[in-house]
Amino acid sequence: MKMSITKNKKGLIGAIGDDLPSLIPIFLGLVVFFAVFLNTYNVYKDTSNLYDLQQEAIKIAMTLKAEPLIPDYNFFNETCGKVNTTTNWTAFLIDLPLDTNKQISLSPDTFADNIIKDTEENLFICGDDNIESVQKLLQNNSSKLIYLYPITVQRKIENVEHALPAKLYVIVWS
Amino acid sequence: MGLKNYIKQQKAQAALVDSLFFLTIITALAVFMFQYSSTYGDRVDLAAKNLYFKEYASSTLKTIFYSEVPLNFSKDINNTDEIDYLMITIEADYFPDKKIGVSDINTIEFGNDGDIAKFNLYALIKSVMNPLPTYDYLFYLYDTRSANFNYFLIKITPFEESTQNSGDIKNPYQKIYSPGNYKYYLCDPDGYSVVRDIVSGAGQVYSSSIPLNFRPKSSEGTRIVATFTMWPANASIQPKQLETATMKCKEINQDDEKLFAISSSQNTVMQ
Repeated sequence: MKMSITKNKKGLIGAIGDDLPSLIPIFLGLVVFFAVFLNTYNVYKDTSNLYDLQQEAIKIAMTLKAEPLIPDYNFFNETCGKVNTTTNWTAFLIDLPLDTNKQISLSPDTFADNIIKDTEENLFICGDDNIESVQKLLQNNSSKLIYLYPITVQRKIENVEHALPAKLYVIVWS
Repeated sequence: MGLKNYIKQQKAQAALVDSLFFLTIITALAVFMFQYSSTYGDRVDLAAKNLYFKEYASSTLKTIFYSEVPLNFSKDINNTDEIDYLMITIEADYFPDKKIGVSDINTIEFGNDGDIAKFNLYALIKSVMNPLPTYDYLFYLYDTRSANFNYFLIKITPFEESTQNSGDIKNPYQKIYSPGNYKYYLCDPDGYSVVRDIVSGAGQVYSSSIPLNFRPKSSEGTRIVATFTMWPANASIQPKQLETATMKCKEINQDDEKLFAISSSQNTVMQ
């Protein structure tokens, strides 16, 4: 009988001490679960933000290029007014010459000079139309999405209106 | 009695097994969550990309139809005496002999005024697609009644077989993209099925079509479908597939193109 009690008491080192071997995997499991859960949540949040931005950019572009020909500056401005979004955005038109050697890529230093203009004041830019802030946006590495579409813009050449190809840039950022 | 005592004695081990089960379940759950997070939004991303490139294809086609071009080989709107809408010049060019340009469908004669409309169609498509250099494309005008192509342009990016072993066991000599060395072809395909067979190898394609009716006053006209198709440049469509008896493609000589662009500009300036 004495021997049996001793046998039953084997390993008894207290209420928690007895369960210690089983507590270790439980804690490990909880740590792993919450770590992965937190990671999944962060990925979900970041990715959702990116997709929301993508959708907004496409929505803005769809509004701006609803008509394949932009006849003048006023029409462009009116179309810009129809954009309904809470996202930060800017859109502008850059010339698309027929000669591919004369085409220019989007650069923070030169983009302002290449925006199509009606007069010196009327540049085809809307949304955030502050040139300096767009320049800064293009310079820094903050997350932004740039979408580009070809479009036709009517412009005056030697006082005669001509419909010429242009690049419509839509930039959104959070 | 003996068994009962034995089970009582094994209590602590049973709790350990429970916790190991718990850990197994948690691990499975964690793997599932990790997998979910790594693939989350792939479909949304793909849908957004598809929408963007479909819209680009559609915008390209619209730009071709709404744009004006110089009526010479200069590619410069400031160096020309005449400017007109591209599709009007194409239509006007088409009516007299029911073909676009004076040369064969698969060639451009630089410097020949009869090929100005044909040349400008090529130049405008090339210009509009220039911002997307990693995409190949084709554009055609297809007469649905006679089942003939009136114009067929295709741009491809040549891929070269690497001479260096990449270390990949399955594919040691991979095909390498050679940027900037794009090739443009004008073709005279035997039929629509020949084109479909070639394009089906390109994988994901984005396409846009517009029906046209080239109609002179006196006749019913010609029903033509203008189609623009683009795809990410890949090694599946290569020059040897185009230079066949069924596609009859001929490469556009880009040196001649440059030469005539310069000489046209100089002529206009001198005038």
